[in-house]
Amino acid sequence: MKTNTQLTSIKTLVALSLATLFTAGALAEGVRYEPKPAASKCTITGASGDSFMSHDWTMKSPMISGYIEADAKFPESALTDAATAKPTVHVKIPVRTFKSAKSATMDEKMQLMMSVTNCPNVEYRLIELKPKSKAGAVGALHFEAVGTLSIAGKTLTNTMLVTIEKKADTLTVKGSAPVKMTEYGITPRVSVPVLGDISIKDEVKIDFEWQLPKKAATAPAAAPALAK
Amino acid sequence: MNQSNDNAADFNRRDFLKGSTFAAMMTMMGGVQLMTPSASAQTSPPPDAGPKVKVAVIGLGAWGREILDQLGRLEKAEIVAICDNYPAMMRRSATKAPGAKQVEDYQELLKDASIQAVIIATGTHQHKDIVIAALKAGKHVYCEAPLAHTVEDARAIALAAKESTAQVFQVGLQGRSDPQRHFLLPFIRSGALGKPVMARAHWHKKQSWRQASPNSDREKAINWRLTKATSPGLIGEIGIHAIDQAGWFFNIEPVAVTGFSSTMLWKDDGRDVPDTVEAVIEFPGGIRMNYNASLATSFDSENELLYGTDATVMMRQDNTGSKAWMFKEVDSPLLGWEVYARRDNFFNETGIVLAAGSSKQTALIEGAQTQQAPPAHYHALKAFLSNCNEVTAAVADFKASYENADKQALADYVLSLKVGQTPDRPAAGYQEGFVATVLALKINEAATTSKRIEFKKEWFELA
Repeated sequence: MKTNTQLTSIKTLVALSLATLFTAGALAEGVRYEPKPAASKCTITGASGDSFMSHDWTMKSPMISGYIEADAKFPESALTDAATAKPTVHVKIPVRTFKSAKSATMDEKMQLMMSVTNCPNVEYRLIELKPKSKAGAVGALHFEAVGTLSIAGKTLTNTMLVTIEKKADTLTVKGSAPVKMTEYGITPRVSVPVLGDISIKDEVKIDFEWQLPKKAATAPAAAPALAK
Repeated sequence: MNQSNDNAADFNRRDFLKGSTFAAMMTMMGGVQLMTPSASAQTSPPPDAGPKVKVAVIGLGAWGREILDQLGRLEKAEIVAICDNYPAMMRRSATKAPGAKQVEDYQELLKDASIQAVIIATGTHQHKDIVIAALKAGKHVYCEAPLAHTVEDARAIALAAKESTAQVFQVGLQGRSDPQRHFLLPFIRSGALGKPVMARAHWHKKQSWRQASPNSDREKAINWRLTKATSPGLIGEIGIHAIDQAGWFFNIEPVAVTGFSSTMLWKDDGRDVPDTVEAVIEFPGGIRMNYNASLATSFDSENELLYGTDATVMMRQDNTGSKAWMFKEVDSPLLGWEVYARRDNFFNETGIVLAAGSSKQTALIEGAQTQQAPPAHYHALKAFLSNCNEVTAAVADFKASYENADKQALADYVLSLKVGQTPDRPAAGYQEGFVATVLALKINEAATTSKRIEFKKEWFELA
């Protein structure tokens, strides 16, 4: 037979255990960030390879889709406990959305060079995020991102420096990655009317700014009405 | 009216010289054609990338069949259906579109989900219902100019096109897609003609405009151009192009018009649309354009002239494509490159050729004078098909990337692509089409009533 004191202790223990469980659940629960249209940009910058006619060129895409899933305190948490904070990052940019704003014909040629038909997206998946800012830093935090970058159907490990900042539940990720086209099996050469084949320098730079608001929680479905 | 939306609105002499430096240098070095890369595409079009566009042509009169001819030359066109409710027109068109489905009712045609784009070449008074139904059915639409025979119909079409942000809507103002004219645009806007003085254009073809049919009802239907109730007249059907071009080149908007008209030759066939029209269109700063068109004389066919204090440009169209010449004043400054350009004589005037293949050497070596270039509507249709592909791809990419994005976000994205405004695929959209149509209809009204009409800004505004 249990006394009132014992019962009270058991109730307290159960309550505490439940509270702990709920808290732990909340901490473990990831937050998903998804980009909104027109809030991101990715730029590929390169130069033509002909020294006589050399000039810089750029192609821009306003469409970076994908998501980041991380703990609620990301990115600050990734400075102190990278393993726990380890975010899941998947980036997808349709090749067709890269435009030069100068010539649609040239855009198409560049897109074909990137094998748009067989590999319609440039994709990136994060493997590891190594902190470069000190623990406790605020604002735009610096990391070294190690991930896989897939272009024209070839996937290679890529390492680049990025900054991640959270403001008003929106993550802003900025970065820059030098890429050699030949490493991805791309022949840096396009055919241009009148001028013929133009070689392009192998090294290009990919700059991006990716904004991802926190995905709003889906409201529970309303109970169906029982009466007319 | 708003010409300033044009992406090529602001040019200066430095911009033009920058663009032409390479061509000028090569000309001096050995006689390469003095032209822009886009103009070069006129004579040796590059192979088109991208999938074919499944397209249908609605309205198979003479112009509809001409469109079929040009589509047959375009790599990206796959003519999957033709549509007309007059069997004779269908029969004449069948050989131009082998394998294409023949449909009598355009509403049936629009139900075919495999058709991506429609080209509407029916009578002008029939455009509204077909365009709006086609846009509602999700098709890309190319509508011949003018948009309509009334301002109200033109407004309804333009508004429907404006709302259809995930589709291409192009108006058949083909001069706006012609590489030759895009070569001239920065030249003229940069001030190479000096101060604009005036413009003049005409179209003369001795022909009745009447088509024969054994059936009296059918005859009335196919001769819609001869009745005021359905026809925008010579100004609306023909003059719209030259008048639109003058404002576009000078980058100014007309303020008033005085018109005249008469029936000089085709008096006894029951028509109430004049066969000869003339209009004096007033622009700001005392610049005027004189336009006349006639079905009673053929002399001098057609041309357009833009006069400046330093030089005049003449543009003509023949079976070798679009051509232009510059006639310099004796006291005008030397531009430099014109020394190397080819010249043609016109009575006692000498015209400097402003066209692809214009250098003296190229003319000698390649016989560029006789090279046949595609007509302007070939380029307009080519731009349309390319733009259809671009918008179709953009919408698909957007929907795949942002599952939960709203309609406005998609509209904003498609607008941001500035489709039809890239230098190699320029095209007239609903705004240009609406302004040109209202202008032509008002000028036609002035001509048929012999009145002076002052244009009101609100006539040209879309709600």
